[in-house]
Amino acid sequence: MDVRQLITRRRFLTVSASAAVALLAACQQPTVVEKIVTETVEVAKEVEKIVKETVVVEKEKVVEVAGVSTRQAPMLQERVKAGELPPLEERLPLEPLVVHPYGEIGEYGGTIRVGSDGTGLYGGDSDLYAQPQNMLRIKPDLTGAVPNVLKAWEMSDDFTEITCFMREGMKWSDGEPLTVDDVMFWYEDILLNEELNPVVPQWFRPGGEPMLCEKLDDYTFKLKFAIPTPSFVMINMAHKYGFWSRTFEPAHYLKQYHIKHNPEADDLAKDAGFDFWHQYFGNRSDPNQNIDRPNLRAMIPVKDTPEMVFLERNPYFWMVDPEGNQLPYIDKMVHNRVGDRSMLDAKVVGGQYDFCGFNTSIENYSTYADAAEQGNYQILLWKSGKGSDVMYQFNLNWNMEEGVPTSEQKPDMWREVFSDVRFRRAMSLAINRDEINEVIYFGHATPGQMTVIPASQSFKPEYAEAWADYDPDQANALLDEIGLKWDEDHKHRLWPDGTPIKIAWDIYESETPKAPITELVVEYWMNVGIEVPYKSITRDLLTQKILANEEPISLWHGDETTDVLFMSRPKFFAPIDGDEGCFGVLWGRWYNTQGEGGVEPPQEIKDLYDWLDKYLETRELEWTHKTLESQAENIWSIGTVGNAPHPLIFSNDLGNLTEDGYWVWDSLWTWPVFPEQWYFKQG
Amino acid sequence: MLASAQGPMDDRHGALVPIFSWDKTTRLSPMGIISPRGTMVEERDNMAAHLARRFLYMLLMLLMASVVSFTIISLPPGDYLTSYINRLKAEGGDVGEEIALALRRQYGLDSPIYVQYFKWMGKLVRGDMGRSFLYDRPVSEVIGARMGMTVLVSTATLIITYLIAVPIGVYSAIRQYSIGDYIFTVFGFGGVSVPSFLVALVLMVFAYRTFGVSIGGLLSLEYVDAPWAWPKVQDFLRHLPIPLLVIGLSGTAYLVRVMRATLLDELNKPYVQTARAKGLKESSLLLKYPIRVALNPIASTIGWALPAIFSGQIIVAVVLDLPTLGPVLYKALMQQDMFLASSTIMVTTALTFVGTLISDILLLWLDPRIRYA
Repeated sequence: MDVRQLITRRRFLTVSASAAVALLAACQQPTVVEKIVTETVEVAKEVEKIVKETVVVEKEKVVEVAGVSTRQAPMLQERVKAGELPPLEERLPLEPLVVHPYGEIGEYGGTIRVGSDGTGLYGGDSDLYAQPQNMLRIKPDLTGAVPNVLKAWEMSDDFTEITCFMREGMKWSDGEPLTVDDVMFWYEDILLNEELNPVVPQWFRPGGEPMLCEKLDDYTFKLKFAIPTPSFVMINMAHKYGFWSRTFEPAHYLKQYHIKHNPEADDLAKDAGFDFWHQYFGNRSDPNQNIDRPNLRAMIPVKDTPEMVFLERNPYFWMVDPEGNQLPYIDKMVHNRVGDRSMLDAKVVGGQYDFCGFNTSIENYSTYADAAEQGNYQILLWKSGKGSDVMYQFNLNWNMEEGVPTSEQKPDMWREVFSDVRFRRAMSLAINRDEINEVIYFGHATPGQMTVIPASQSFKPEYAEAWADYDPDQANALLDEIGLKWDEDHKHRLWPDGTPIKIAWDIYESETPKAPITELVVEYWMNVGIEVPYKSITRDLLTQKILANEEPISLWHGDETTDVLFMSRPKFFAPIDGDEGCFGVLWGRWYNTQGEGGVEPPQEIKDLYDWLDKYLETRELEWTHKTLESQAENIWSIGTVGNAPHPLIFSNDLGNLTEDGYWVWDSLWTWPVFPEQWYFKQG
Repeated sequence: MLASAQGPMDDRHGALVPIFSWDKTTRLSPMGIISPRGTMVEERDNMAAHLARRFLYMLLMLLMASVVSFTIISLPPGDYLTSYINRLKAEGGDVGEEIALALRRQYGLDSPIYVQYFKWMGKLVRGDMGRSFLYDRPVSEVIGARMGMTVLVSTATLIITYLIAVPIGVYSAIRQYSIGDYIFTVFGFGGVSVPSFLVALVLMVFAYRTFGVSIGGLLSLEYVDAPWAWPKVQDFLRHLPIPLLVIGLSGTAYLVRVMRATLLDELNKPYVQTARAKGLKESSLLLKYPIRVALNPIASTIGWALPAIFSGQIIVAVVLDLPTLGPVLYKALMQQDMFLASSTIMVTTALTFVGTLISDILLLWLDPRIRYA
């Protein structure tokens, strides 16, 4: 990687630090000001190998009132005074994570109101304010990782070992220490336990072998892989792939439910109404279901009612601002569970939430804007972080028989047309992307071909421009060239056997405006004689149909197109065995099962898988470019508009927000922007 | 006044509409049914046999309902795990086949459907409704936590519905084709035909714009956890009218129509004329005879209210975001949470049977024609 990133990172730190200093000067208080030394050590040996940040908060002049530090929320000061909590110094790790606020040092207090249609303790937006804490965090520009729970990590030169450094003195929300033993408990007793995990998920067995985890001392552990795995840092440590938000498990609490540590675990489970210990263990270890499970988040649940979850600040939270004030600034959170998703929009407009992003949609922008004043909120537009908001794929495995290599498949009329690159290019040229942009996004998105987002290191303008002009004449010429003739009324084109082309398929609506865009695309394609009537169905049904290879066309939103997750698995650029695209489900199955199932693909497709594997092992951009060139050439996926805006609703009283975010799964939505430093402006 | 003096009540006149005798000696007793013909004991025996037979049928019907509901819920492709995994994916995750397999095992969904059914049934007869996947807690807990609000809202609606519908129905009948009748008729047809969720949406926006009542729910967010002090009660009362109005609307409109129609039928019957000819005051005449008879259809539907009280109005509750059982059932069905959905449906079905039984008993009690039939 390059120096640019380091500079950006340094500048980010410097700028925010100077902002903090300026603020300090502005509101000089007569009392003592804590002296802070922030020292950022970055060794540019080979990037992503060592990033170490050491922050020392000198405690020589701790600000105290009646023996209680005021660098914590008043509600905690009270509890310390009453003797219910140990003093702040004992609750913070030796080296807490220092978070530089976007705006200013915040004020303590307030309750943040969020809603979701989930049934768990956290969910939707509540999960995005009180994020589950991964080992590392994703940089705001999505190009790398920064420390989080781990204070540092070190990748070996051959990319087969990662040494992880934890924060000494860091505590679970119940006050118990977080140490390597918690990691070892997860590794030995959960990941490798056959009753809990019959198969080690593929994320944890690069090269086919389960990774090794080794304790070096109480605060240091080492992960070892069978093959070079440089991608592990971004995909599994900064992102949550494989871990499922469960990066750390509280061993001290969970051992009582584990058969290895408690022979009576089965009886416990039966008393609780479960059949086996592993079922009860699953329930007890789920932070979303068990209110008693200690965790590391900023907010912990304290009360659960059918319509509401009440959460309070985690007194042992391990982040501070540059002045040494413990985060989060906000005292409490209420998580309102609604019966149906559509209710969330109504409540947003009614000003009932302080933060909403998970269920907002650009289609409703004007509704939000109309009610913003009465509802006392503002709308921030983040980038959708998707190469294309909606993209289409034709099924190149249509009517194939499983177990027979591609070259030996019986010919199929539809498949032959879909497989013709001229057909896919024609379909792409027939789409009026500017009109989609104007009609759906008020001109705020970027029309273009499906590729990575412009901020990615692998981005090239020619990838986005490939076959992305609106040129129905050329599209018609290509279709004529293939030999798809018009019928007598010049309405439909005809299949080689003389029947009109009419391809029925299904979509599932979510996340991006899929139906409105598809409505337009259907019209554009009809104009060149290809009729593609669609139906909107549930995801359950769509999953079944795609996996059974029964969809001739499919659509999805083009996520995993940022440097965080791009090429972390087959998806839109190499055929996936999943419900998010039907470009080559059987090929995807062949790849996933190491050649045992599915259909053996032709060399062209094998190359795509090959490049993916090579990129995961080396993280060299050669392979991403090869992949993207192939996409620009072959138009495996037909993009529409990308880099679109996503509206977020924030109360006018919230401070330290940013407009510079990516709202996408790759970034885990709010994860890079440290929602812990949001605060309520008092008075 | 002697019973025999009042024509229509006297069996010897062969009138079709016998009314209980209302002199003090033979007052209707809730302990048993007193009739001029049978003895109380005889009646009670018949009744007991009847009830026992009904109870047996009910059990059989319940068993059938359990099979049907369980099968229908598991008919759509996939199971709870497919839904669950799709939800994980909707939040961006990638769940491979292996994880799905492990989860399926953990949730006990790896056995065939009939095995799951018998497991669930076995628990159900012991009073254990199983575990909800969706809420990851016992079904009884999920239902229990919502029971209070559900019963409160439904009962309040029910009472208000009857309080409004019966007088209006009576008024419309005795003042047929008056301006008032026309107004109520318009209201009635409107109420029956306009979908209640639409009314709910409109009222909600109206209440928010004009009175600043927060949208959805029965309490503003800040009061949900507050103790039941006066401000909370006030807040609750501010939120209550919309659900009551909306849920009550179609029921009220329907009842008004029924009440009006049956009463109109009665008003022209000879016994009314006879009573009138004998010089009975109009108001007491109406109250004593035709209205009581006209209540029959209402009594026969009162039993349906029981399951409704339990599950609440599903769509309206979803639209209004009420913390009642309706939205839970809706979610359970959408996400194939089999035990939660089946158990809720079972309880609703059982209540429907019980309700019908109650209706029948009420009718027997109210109307000797049925009793002697």
